[in-house]
Amino acid sequence: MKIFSSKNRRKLALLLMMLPGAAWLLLLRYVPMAGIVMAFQEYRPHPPNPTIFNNIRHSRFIGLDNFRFIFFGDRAWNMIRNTLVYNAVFIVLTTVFAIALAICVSELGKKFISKLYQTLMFFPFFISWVVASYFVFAFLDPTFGVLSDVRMWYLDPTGWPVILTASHLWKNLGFTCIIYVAAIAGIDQGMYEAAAIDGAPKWRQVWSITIPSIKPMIIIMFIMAVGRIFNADFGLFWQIPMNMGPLQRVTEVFDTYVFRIMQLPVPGAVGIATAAGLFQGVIGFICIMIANTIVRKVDNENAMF
Amino acid sequence: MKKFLLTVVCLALALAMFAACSRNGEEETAPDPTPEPEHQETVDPPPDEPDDEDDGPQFDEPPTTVSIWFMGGGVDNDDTLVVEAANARLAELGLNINIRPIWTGGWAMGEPAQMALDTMDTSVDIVWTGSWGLNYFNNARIGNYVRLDDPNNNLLERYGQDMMAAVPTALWDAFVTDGPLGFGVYGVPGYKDYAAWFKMDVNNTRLAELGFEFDEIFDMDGSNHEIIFEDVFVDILQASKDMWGDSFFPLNLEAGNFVQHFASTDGDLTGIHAFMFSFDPLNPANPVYPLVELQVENELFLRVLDRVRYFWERGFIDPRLAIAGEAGDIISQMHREGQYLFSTGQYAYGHTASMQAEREIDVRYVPLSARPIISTMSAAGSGFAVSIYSQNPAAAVQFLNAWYTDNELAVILNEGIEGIHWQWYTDDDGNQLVQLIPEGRETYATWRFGMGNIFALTPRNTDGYGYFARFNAYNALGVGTPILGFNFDNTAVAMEHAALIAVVDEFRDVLTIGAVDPAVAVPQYLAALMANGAEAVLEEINRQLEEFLAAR
Amino acid sequence: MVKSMRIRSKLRINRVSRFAEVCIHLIVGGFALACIIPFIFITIIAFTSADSLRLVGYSFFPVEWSLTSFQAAFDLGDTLWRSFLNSIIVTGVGTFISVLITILYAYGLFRRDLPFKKFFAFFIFFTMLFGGGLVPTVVTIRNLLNLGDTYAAMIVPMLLAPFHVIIMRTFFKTSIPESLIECASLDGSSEFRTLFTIVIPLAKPGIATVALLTAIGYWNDWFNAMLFVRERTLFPLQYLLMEMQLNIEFLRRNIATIGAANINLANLPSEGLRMALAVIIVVPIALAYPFFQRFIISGLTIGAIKE
Repeated sequence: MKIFSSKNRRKLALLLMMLPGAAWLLLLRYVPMAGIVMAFQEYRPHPPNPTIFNNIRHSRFIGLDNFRFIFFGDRAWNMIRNTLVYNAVFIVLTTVFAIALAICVSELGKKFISKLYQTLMFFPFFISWVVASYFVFAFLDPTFGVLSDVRMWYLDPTGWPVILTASHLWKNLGFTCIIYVAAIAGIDQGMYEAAAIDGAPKWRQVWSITIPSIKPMIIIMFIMAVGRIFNADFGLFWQIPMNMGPLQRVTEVFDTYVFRIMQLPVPGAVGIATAAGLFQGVIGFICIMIANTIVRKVDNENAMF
Repeated sequence: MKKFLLTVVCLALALAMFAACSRNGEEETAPDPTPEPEHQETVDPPPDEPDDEDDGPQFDEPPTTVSIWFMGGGVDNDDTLVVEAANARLAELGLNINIRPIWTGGWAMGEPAQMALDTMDTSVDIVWTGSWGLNYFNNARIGNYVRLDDPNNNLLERYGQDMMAAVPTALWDAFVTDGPLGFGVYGVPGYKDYAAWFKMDVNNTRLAELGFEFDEIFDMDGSNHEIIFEDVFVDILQASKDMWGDSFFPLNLEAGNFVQHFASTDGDLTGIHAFMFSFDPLNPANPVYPLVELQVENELFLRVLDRVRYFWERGFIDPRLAIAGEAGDIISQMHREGQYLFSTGQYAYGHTASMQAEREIDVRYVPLSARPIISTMSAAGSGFAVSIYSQNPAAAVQFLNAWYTDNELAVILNEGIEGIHWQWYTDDDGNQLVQLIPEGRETYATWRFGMGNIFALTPRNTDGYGYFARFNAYNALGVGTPILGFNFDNTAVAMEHAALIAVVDEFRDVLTIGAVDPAVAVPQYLAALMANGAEAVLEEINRQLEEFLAAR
Repeated sequence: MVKSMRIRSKLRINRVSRFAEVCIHLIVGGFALACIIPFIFITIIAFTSADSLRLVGYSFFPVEWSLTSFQAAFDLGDTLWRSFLNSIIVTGVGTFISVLITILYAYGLFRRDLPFKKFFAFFIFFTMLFGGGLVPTVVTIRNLLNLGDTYAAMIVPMLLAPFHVIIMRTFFKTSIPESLIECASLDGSSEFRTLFTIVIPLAKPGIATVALLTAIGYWNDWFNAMLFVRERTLFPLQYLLMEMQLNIEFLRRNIATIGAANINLANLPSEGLRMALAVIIVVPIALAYPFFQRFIISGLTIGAIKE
């Protein structure tokens, strides 16, 4: 009857809590993972009875050809560079600005104005990139635009890295900021009071209480962002520059490039898409492992695993 | 190590589940009529006896539902009544079939419909297809469509006899392509204007306001492909600028099309518009050059490019037309409001009248070649295919057969219901015609030219009684281009082909609208094309073309 | 009561200086303004008459106002209201179930004594990076789970996001002292009781954040509708708008082949209608935000009680 000891019952209860999530993951994430095999196939329907099992079983294995598809030609290096540089800049700027904003917002306390600010900050998150692109267009429109006299924006790549970065921050800062605001809200208020009684100035409190308290959150957010270093925000890079050819050199990223070559109904397009996803996953996995190892070396407590 | 083991276990589990799942799928599909050569009897969905019209709309078994992905429809389309009427008519015809149209609104076809094919959606039986958009040839080649004339299970012969007779043989021939089950027909061609005519769209109302006489400038019985190089053309454009000011842009052009039409380019068989096969505008059956070539290596093409650049520099073209994402909206706005002088146009028969009504101006279409052309693109321009994942391919073909040949059913599906969407109209000679009711059509909008067999319909009052006779005469006027029937199989050079898309996207639109200087951009474009394998693709096209021509 | 009074007075003591407060208002307020201006602009465009758009283009100060765009949107009638209702159902039900599952999984991961803890952490983390791709996922949902044309098809695929679980776990880590759970356990409280009566009230800011992110995810989702829903009566609001965008995108891509003139462009939804729908979509979830926010901010007070 040892199984029913209170300790085991507790463990069982905890396992029971994991059950719905684990079942979902198994069914909706792990079962379909068998499809990764398509990344190495020229996937085609199998005419007499095209179930997914038949299709996969009868499709031809083509080794790494689906990956070669993505990196063929002289445009590949350019889009890889763009993807990595943009993402690196986005990670750094978003983290710094979001934390700064969150600290400022938290200082305003529960006042109405603070709530108003937060509500407003959230708006960009709801506006799709398509709609946002109209807003950008309203400024850069060659005939009616507010800034139309400066240059033919859509024919000249100068300035686009800045426009894209600003657009990204505009859309994502508010959202990331809220996560940090909530993290700060969870900090024990007593620590600040103690510090205030000790006479610590505000910036000092931020530096030695707020930042260390939300450090786990910062690290987690950072590691997760690093894992997506090869995933670019498709809407941002496709809609905002309106897919203009002359801007391609500075606006083409991994996701837009894959989307572009998928417009051609090549046999096995499904395989190419799977290969692209797999590639992003593998790179992300390597990056996360590196980041996590570094974090563990410096600060074992906060490593992800 | 533990992690690794666990992952392996997980994956094994996943595979097991997967196999189970697919076995399920097989069980589900077992009784359905997927073609199985030996058991031809089982192919029939329940009790379809097309010949037996006596027992009327009484069926013992529940009807087979056939879902069809239609072109057209608005966001607030309401097809309830239409579907009811269509089902009743199908029953009258002795078909125990219910149809279920899938409209994803106006034109949202490409993405969701292709996605349905790619993700094995068994709830879609029939998809709209064509040489553009949902590319017929490539999908057939990949194996996404059911072969309809499969010798082992010839659905077309069994259920589609009437339809085969109704649609001209030439169109069926254009739909013959190579697929997983051999050379054959993988879709039912749409029957409409299979002869295409490159035209220039002229706003004659504005032209007359400027004091120019239409008949003195354009030759409606010949070809006008040289017109943009004539001085009078520039004079007209300049006069319009002088008269209506800087914010008036007389040339309302589509990037790509304008240059391609004036360079007499047969439809691009690769789908990326970097290659061309040029015909002689004075006699489209004659090639100018016997092979496919790169657009930017063709002398005439470059000449037209330079001309467009000249127009751009003179301010005749709205710079916003260079912005791909905006161009569609702006072109249609300029059309709607009649704020243009010349635009691009491709001929759909009887289109001029509807354009005049819509824009409330005198629209004229000026031909750019002596006669219309019939190309692979125009002949296989639209059609309907049965998805390989369809559970009821036989019923799908039966439905198509009825829809293509039965006037009443065609009118119900294409025009709507009498008294709600349209009403009878009697012309001066006592002929009965269909007159649309605009308020009713707001909630049931279809694209007539994308809906099967236009000749099965009753003409509209705007067309006039002799519409179909004239339409046929127009189609008969068309001459086949030298490469009619040829389509390109990119399998051998797929990587190069795909890599070229980025290059074309970078240069083509801005070049063909005049936004960049050809003297600078053309050499760059050419170099980029060469660096990404254009030569290999070109060689492959021409190899296949020579093979095709030799076989003919 | 007395306690909360005391806290408030202490908070006042520990406030930033007037000057710093002005600076903060300038920074945060400035950014907030930058965030809202595009939305205001889009609203203005939606209220601008077509003539004004042609005359002065996009402008904050149109020469003529008009209700046509919203009229067009409301003319959609039942289509609009039905999809509105669908969006609310999917968002409401989806968020509730999703948050529940997320809390359970995250709480388990947070506990030291969870058996196979490392496995469960890796089990969810791995799915952030690798997936089977679109086709097998869709086939699983449609054919194995048989969810085509149901509300469930729009809810189930988004029930669990690894990102949310990790955020949730981190919140537990930062704001729930492990001693608290040990105490409860010694008092004889069952695991579920501890979770629902002690942990969840303390983790309100985290839960509110995750709930907010989930609700936004459901509200903005159109992709699952496109994949699984063919029945127009089940369309969510976002898909209505997306359908219009897809129309235009499809048209744009094929214009070079078929020519714009061959298509009846008059049927295309106007820019104004799209803007009006965009506005209609944003407003409800933005109005719901203060509700979530109450819980996020309430963390301030809870933190104080915790001492």
